[in-house]
Formats: sequence, C-alpha cells, structure tokens
Amino acid sequence: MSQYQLGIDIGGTFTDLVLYDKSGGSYKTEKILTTPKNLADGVLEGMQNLVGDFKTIDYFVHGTTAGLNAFLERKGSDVALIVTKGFRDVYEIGRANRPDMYSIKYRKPEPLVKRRNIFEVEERVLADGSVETAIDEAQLNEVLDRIVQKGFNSVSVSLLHAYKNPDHEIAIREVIKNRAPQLSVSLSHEIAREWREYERTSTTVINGYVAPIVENYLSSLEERTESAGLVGDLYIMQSNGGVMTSRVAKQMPIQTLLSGPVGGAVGSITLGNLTQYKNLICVDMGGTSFDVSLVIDGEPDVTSETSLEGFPILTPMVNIHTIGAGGGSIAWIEGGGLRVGPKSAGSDPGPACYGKGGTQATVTDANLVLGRLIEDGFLGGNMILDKDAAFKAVKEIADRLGLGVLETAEGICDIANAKMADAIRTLTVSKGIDPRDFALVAFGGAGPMHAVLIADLLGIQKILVPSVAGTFSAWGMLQTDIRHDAVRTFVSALQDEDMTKIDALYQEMEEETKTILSQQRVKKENMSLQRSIDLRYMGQEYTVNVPFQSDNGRVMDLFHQMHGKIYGHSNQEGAVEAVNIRITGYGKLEKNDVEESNNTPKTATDVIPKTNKQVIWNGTEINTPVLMSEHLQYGHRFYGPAIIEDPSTTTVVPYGYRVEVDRLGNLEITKEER
Amino acid sequence: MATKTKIETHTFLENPITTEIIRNALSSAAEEMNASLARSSFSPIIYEMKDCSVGIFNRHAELLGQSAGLPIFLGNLDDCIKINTKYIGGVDSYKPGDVYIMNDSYLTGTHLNDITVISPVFYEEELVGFTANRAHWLDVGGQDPGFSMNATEIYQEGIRIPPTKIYDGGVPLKDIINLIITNSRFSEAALGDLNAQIAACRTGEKRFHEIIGRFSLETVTRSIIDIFKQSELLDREMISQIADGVYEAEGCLDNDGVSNEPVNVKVKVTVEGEDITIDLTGSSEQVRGMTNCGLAQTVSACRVAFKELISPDAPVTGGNFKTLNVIVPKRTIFSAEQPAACVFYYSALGLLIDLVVKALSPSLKEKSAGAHYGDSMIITFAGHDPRRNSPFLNVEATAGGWGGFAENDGQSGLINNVNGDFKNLPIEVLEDKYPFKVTTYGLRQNSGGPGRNRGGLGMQRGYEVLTDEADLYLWFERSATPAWGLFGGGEAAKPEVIIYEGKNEEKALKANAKPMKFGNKVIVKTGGGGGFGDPFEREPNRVLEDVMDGYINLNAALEQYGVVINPETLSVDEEETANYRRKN
Repeated sequence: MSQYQLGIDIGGTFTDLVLYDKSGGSYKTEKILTTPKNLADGVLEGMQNLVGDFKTIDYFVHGTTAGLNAFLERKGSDVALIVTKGFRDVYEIGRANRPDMYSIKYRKPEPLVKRRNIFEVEERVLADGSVETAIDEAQLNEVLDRIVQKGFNSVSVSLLHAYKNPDHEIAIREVIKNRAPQLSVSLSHEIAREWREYERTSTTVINGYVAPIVENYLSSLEERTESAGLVGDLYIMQSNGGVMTSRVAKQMPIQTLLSGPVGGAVGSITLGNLTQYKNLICVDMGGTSFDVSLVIDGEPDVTSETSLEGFPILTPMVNIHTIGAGGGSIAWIEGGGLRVGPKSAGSDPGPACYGKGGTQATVTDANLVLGRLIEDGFLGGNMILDKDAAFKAVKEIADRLGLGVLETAEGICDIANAKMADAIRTLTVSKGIDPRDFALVAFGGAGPMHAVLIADLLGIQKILVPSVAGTFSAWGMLQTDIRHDAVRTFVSALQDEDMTKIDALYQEMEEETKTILSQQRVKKENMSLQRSIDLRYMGQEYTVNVPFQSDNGRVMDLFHQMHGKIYGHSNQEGAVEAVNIRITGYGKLEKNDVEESNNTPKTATDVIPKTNKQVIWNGTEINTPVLMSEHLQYGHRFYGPAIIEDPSTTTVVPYGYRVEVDRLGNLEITKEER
Repeated sequence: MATKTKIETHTFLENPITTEIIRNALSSAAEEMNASLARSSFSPIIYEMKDCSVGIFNRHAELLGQSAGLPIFLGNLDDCIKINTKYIGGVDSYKPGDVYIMNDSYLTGTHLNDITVISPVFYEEELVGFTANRAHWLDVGGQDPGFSMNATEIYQEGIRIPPTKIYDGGVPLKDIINLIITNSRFSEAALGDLNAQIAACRTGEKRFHEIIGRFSLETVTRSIIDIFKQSELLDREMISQIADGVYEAEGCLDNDGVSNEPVNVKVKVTVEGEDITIDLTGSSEQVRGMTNCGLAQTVSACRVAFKELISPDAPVTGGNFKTLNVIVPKRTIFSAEQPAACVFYYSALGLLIDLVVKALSPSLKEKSAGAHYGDSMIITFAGHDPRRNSPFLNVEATAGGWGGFAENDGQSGLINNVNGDFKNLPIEVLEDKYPFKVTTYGLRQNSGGPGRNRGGLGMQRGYEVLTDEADLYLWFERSATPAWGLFGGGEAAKPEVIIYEGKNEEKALKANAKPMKFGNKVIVKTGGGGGFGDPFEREPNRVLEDVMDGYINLNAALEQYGVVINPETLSVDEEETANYRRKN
C-alpha cells in the first residue's frame, strides 16, 4: 500500500515536488507555478499530478514559505508586545549600532511592532531571578483591556530576565487565556530562553508576527490533505535542518522561517554521504539570489544566532549566507568603469530577456548572448527568452565601453563569477578553512551554470551537480530526521558546584525534549540527545559551542582546542565562562534510507548530444555539444566544453573538465590534470 | 587654483573587464585581511566593535583596496606608510618580511591606543606595495586603565611609538616587541592583537601575490592606474555638481575636559570647478585637555565628510580625494603637536564632519541631513563589586538621535558618527556583570529637532548603584552646539546628566572619578537629531502618528508643528490647524 515518500518545497516562483517510489527505488519530480494567494492550492495540485491515491504516501515532508513570505513582505499579523515597565523602547532602540557607516541617512529596519502597540506592565525580575516587583494585576488587566479593544490577534511577551525566571511571563499568559483565549501568545522564554533582552524580544516578536499565518496555513493543509486521503503526519522542515510534525510547528512557527532554503543544505549532506565528500560548499543560485552554505565533516553549519533583514533571531538555524549576486545582477557603468551588481533586476521586471520591461543588461542576459543559456530550454521550455532583447541590452553597455558585444557579455559573466568566488573565499577565511579542501555542490536554476567557473577560481577540483539540481531542496527534505533544540542561559565559571547544577538543568531539558519527540511519535529507541555548552573567554561576547563533558577540566580543554581551531589562537590560562547550555534531540524516522538506487549496470555506450551549438569560450566561438540530462546514464563520461540541459537547470562545463555520471544520475565534474 | 584637466574614458590603459575583476579582487583581498584580523584578534573591541581598519597599497602608498571598521579611519594608513618610508630613509630600505609598528598621535593622528602595523610586499624581489592595518588596543599603559579622562600631556596617555621595525626580514625582534607589550596592563591581549595584525598583513600579501600571479605585474599596474582614474573621474563628476562658492559653518565643543573654555571648530569650504578645499583656520589653538587631534586624522575626517556627501557607496581608492585640499594652521586642535593630550581626538572630528555637511547643504540639499547628537556621550563606572569581591570597569558609549533628511525622519537611538558599528550593552548582561540596576531605558519624548522631516530622538538610561565603591566618569558633549536643523528645521534637545545622591540632585556633563554610594542614581539623556525643512510643512497626519507613538506630545504638536489635535478622539482638526499655521 504505502509506496511513496513525498517532499515539497514552495519557492517564490515555483513549487517543487520530489516523489520517491520505494518499490522501484526511483525519483519523480514535478515543478508547478506557486499559488501565492493560497499556497495550499499549488501543493494539492502538484500532489494530484504526481500521486493518484494519497493513501499510498507514507511520508510527507514540506518546506513552507508561509512564515518567511509574511515576514519578508511585511504581511504578518497585528502584534501587541508586552514588556517590563520602564523598558518600552528596548525593541525600537535595538543595539543602536550603525552597520551602514558612511550613510548619514541610515535607518534601522522598520520595527514589526509600532511603539503605540508596545505595552508596559508593572513588574520587575532582577538579574539573579528574584522578584523585585510582583505583577500589578490591576494594571495588567487595564493593558489587556486595551489590547482586546484594539483587536490584535497575536501577543508577544518579553520581560526582563525572563530567561532566568519565567514566572511572570507564564502568569501573563494565564490571564490572557482567561480573558481572551482567541489570542495567539508567544512568550520569550519559550521561544528563546537566552539572555540579551533585545535579541530575545526580536525573536519573540517575529514568532508572534508569523504565528497566526503559519497556524492557519498548516491547519488548512492538514485538513485538505487529510480529506484527500492522506494518512499520518505532515512533517515540516525546520530552520535547524531537521523536521517536526505540523502540530509542533504550530507551537514554534519561527522554526519554519527558513523551512524552504535549508532543504538544499540538508540534501548536500546526503549527496556528500553518497559520494564520499564530507566537506562541501553548497551554492544555490536562483534568478535573483546567490546563497552559500557549508557542510563541514558531514555536519551542517548550524548557528544559534542569526539575523534576517537586520532583525536578530536566537533560534538554531542552518547558516545560509546570502551574497548580492545572481542572474539578475545588473551591469552598469561608473566613473568610466564596468560594474556588475549589487543592484538586481529581481524577477520583476527581471533581466531584459524575460521580456517583462527590463532594459538593463544582467548576468542572465549575458549568458544568453554567449549561448550558455538556451532560449527555449529555460525552465524546461516553460519560458521562452528574448535573445534580441538581451543582445540589445548588452550592446548598449558594450558601445559605451567601446568593446564588442560578445566580449562584454563574457566580461559580465567573468566579473560576476569572480565576485562570487571572492565572496566565498572571504567566507572561508573568516571560518578558518581552505576552499581547496572542499567539493562544490551546485543547485538551483542558475547554480550549475556558474559552478564550474567559480570552482576554477577557487582552486576547487570537484563539482557535484545533483540529478535533481532544479528541485534539490525538495529532495533534500526527504533525507532528514526530526530535530528539537532546547537552550538555557546559565552564566558560570564552571566551578565544581556549577557542574551539579548544570547536570540538573540538562536532565530537565532532556525530559522536555523527550516529551516533544514522543508527541511526534518517535519511539524511545529512536531518540538520541546531545548535550552541548556555549563557552567563551571572560570578556568576549561571542561563544563557541562545545560538546558537553561532565568533567569541567575536559570541557575547558575541549574549548581551548576548538577556539584555537576556529580563531587561530587559544589561551590555556584564560578564564572560561559558560553562557548557554543546549540540548539537541534527534528522532530517527522509520523510513527507508536512500538506496544506492537501482541496480542498473554501467552503460558501455557513448553519450549522444541532442545538438551542437556555437558557444563563446574565452572570446572564441566553439562548436559545443548540448546534452539532455534525460539521455545521461550511469557510466557516461565526457569532456568540456559541453552544456547539459535539464528541465529545471542548465549545467555549463568549460574546457579542461571531465564529467562522469554516477549511479544516481548525479554529475561529478573533475578538473583535468594538465 | 588651477582646475585640472578632465579625464576622458578613452585614456584607459587596460581592458575594463580585466580592470573590474582586479578592482574587485583587491577589495576582496582587503575584506579577507579584515576577516583574518577579526578572526584572530584577542580583544572584543577589535573583533566585535570593529575598532580597526585594513588596506592594501601600491609601492607609492596609494590605496588599492580597504576594509574599514570605523569610518573615521578612512584613508590615513597611506599617510602612515609615507611617514614610515621617509623615517627609514626611502623605499630602498625595505626588505621582504619586514614589519613596522607606530602609534605616535602626532604622526598617525589618533590616540595612542590605535596601533598601526605596516608590511612591505615584494614580488620576485621587487617592492610592489604594502599591506597595513590599524587596531585599537585595550591598554597601552598611561595613568589610568584603558584611557584617561583628565590627561593634559601625551606622556600620561601611554607608550608612544615612533615608526619602529618589529620584524626584520621575517625575523621577529623580540626585545622590541616585549618592550612594547610590557607597557600594556593587558600584555597578553596586546601580543595576541599584534600577532593578529601581522597575520592580517600576511593574508593581504598572499592574495596580492595571487592577483599578480594570475594577471601579471604589468597588467595589474596598468589596471590600477585605470582604477584610480575611475575614482578620480567619479569624484570630479560629483564635485562639479556643487555650485562654485565659499561655504562656511562653525560650532564648538563645550570644553576640553580640564577647563570651561569652549573648543571652537570653524569650517570654510571652497568649491571651484572640480576642486574642493576645506579650510579649518579659526578653529581653536591646541588645548590643554584631551580634545587634540593629529593632522593625519583631521585629513581623514575631512575625507569622511566628503565621502558621506559625495559618494557613500563607491569603494575608496588612491584615485579619490585628488581634488580635495585640506588647510590646517599649525598647532591647533586639528594639528596637535607635542605634548598635547589626544585621547578624545574624535570629539572635535565628529563635529567637524557635521559642520562640513552643514556648510555644503545649500548646494547639496538632497544629500545633506540635520546634525546628529554628537559624540561621545560616554559613561564609565569603575570600582569594586561586593557580590564577586572583584574590581570592575564598565565603559558605555550612549546612542542618540540623527538628523532628518530630504526623504525621511532621522533615526532615533543610533550610535554617533565616529563609533561606526558599535553595539550597546544589553541590560541583562550589564545587571549580571556589574553592581548596578538599570532603572529605565527609552527614547526621550520631544527631543528630536522639529522639521518637515523630524530629527531622531535621543534616549535616556538610568542606573542605580549597588555598591559603596564606585567612581563615575562622564564625557558628554555638545550642550553648547546641540544638533542643528537645516532648511527651516529646528534644533534638537541638548544632552543632560542628572546625578541623585539621596535627596541631592546635581547636573553635570563631565566627571572624573566622582565617588558614588549604594543607592545613588544617575540618569543620562542624550540629544536628538536636527530637523529638516519647515515643521509647519509636515503633513498633519504624520504629526498625529508621532503623537500616537509618543515621539512627541500634544503640546509639541501644536507649538512646534502647528497641528491641532483633539485629545479625546486623537484626530487632526484640519481647520484649526490651517488657522494656526497661517497665524504663526
């Protein structure tokens, strides 16, 4: 009966579906236009196209952008924020820093809650967790009167030192539940139990801002898939790289924020495992974005603190570095010199070749002029590109510079590739790693078009293009397990007596985590819990997350060692301070792991190009074979220059590279020794 | 003065594509130097507050790529290299693997805590350029930990280092390094930070080599000439849009910290074709207190002001500022000489930057903004924490309001223009670490200068002392020159500090080691930003919004903006507003 596993990723333009057929060990993909008005419409439509009977799906995982879109488009719910009396402006002031240092017109990101919607409650907890001023219930009720009267549908509560003593936040929720049970309530100590009031407040506000939207979306999806016959849970991709059931997701909507984008990083790990590469630079390039994430020693690079559009977020997330380049980057002239980006044509009007009114030359236009992008092969032929418009746009720049059109087009691509390579190199320097020790994984619509050229600039020898490059995030989601993170701020110098307290806290958090895992039907034997601790040298702000050891000497040794590895130095004599303790709980899902696909033997045939085409390489037109991914078989091997067309992406392989097709249909591209 | 000939694009030497790739690669190399410095430095002031700056230069000490932490460090590492070269007898004295260090305020322009490190870069035995950086060390000796609030001579401020070789042909000169770091109260951190600075130079050198290896020295040299031309062309295009003329502005700091005399800053900007001259004649003579600044840093501040107005987005290169001329008479606060104290070199610079913007605003309305609240608004507590039985030192720079501008209101609660990406200290961390309770932290109602676009609000932060051993230090400024408005916009509120000892209430803006007792309270209030445009032209609805958000009260809405609001219904009385605005 149960035959299928289904992964679905909703993107800005397309909704991607990947279906794994357990009986045949094969994958099917589907790409349909996203339905922004009601995202669930697109999901249902795609599902119906792929699977007749929903009962045959025994595992359904979904990356949702409902929360992220609401946040990015500022279409979240009306949130009221309750804070400690005297501290109304913590949220608006933030950390008061000015990242845009030469601008006298700098403005902080517009707060998600207006000042008039921030309410002070008479209460005060001190740094040691003791209560200095108890909640003034009468005054709290007055505040609630105003909140109810103003018609908010979501309330975030963030009180000073609630990470240490959450009693007042809990008491406020009780009062709200009695007074106005329809309100969605987010408490700071439940969303991010860490110190630093601004960061915790920001996290809690974002949660409150997206909560009603995510809740509604998930409830409607549950209902509609269930009535269409789906049995079992909906699993939702989390920002931390694991999944959770939709029920848990409704309690922690902020965890769905990067639900879509992390799929690629998670997929990369699986791809790495299948191909024996443990260190990966993952490049996800779409029409307008260029995202880079890292896999180091087979583990995703998860950070406990990040910021989105200038708002800090204190929940664990896969580190995704967005770099201002992509197919939409605009070529322009400044001081007589050629520049590419950071301004982007976006998807509307988009590159000139989209024919939607864009007139400025972009990287996508340059690729089209060079013949690296096929005008009728874009998105599997779903979109025909206007090559004349691209040529005209590039020519305008070329004329102003006194260069040829083809030379300018190749120049635009070269500059864009060099900038992307530079950005990746800076990222690796800041992490203390060498890109030459890594393989590059390229996915997204435009990633494989630039990947080999970027790798070349970084001295990377190996490039992997997954067989499902265009729907890689959805594929990645199928490969992951349940994850739950818990955190407590516990500032201490790790004396012996502290270790006992820490152990007790860990036990408390482990019980909590187990409860949440078993709510998601994870059996005891499939649970695993990892203890870790955030440490730093006294006086530092940022911390290093270290696997916990019950012996305080050993934990400090490990810290010195890891600090040395990350920062290039350590100080054995330096005083060490613990800041946060963390539990990461995993629940292994009982589903089949990806198999080494089918047993198809290596083919002995040679690959036959669909056609040959004149493409510009280093200023020279070369007759270049164009291959179709559907014709590629395990064992095929060929050499650049070549262009491989897939319904969802185009891979560009220059001269000097060898391409091999592996058992799963992935492309392994290797630099040829010269 | 003669206007130089205009550059034509056809005079470029190299293919613009190659030039652009090299330009980006050099900028990125500087970013990598910065990443390397941040990654391996010991002190949070470097890796978190970014009190540092790095750059790559050609053999003529012209800037190829830079990555600045603090804006105020923009473009004077090149001067330091030139000074160093002159000091050691010319470029022929450099050897591969040499490293030099200096911090002399009168040469580098800043305070002694800022340590500059310079290393020559050789390619196949030829000197091709330099890598250099500057970073703030926590302590360089001197009469007080960190820095002093009442020095009158540089000798009280720490160890003073002239251009000094610390690596000779790749070999560390350990005695000299030891001599320097032994003078710091935190010598281990000093050595760690020094090593990080040297590592950053090496990172830059390695990337410089790779770039030359990839493109050839000849191509890189030609492209660099083109890159400079592009920068110069852009500057000239921008300056030529400013109407020729003489633009003036002046203001003053309250005092120099040891006297009550105002410290004057006078700016005269002359624009003639594509040339611009900033003349600081008329600014105060060198003072006895600490508000003196070395010439190199004064030039740097003029460049920041120029850049803020002319091209905030384009990266700076050695081709920039060719037509910017800075005139500073000898022995003033902007050209300090021995033995002037220089710890607060930046207070006058922050004002200077604001004044250049003010002076040029008539011709650059769209690019200008009302003044910001100023600097440095520092409150420091030092003493003994009874809970931990240990000494403590907490230094906080306080945020305030920025000026309104053509498109929008000024930002509230933002750090000042010389402190860059500096972050405030979270209350939960402060109360855990130090014996204080924060009593309030919020925006100051009505503190922004009124205007069609309002100035940002200043803020207030209250402290209650929970120890009997605490000394208070204050460095609050600009009460004599609060943030001014532009184009009819009004002035913002002044800073204010109130100290409560029992029933006693005292106001002060500066203090040095004032003893505090358990239960004493201090409230600091910073100024707002200046308004932009006539407040009577502000749309009544935006005034109403400000009232609803509590940024201003009903009184200010009426008196400053001429908007009549019904306090019951919170709605604008259009007719009464029109009447009021007509009459007043």
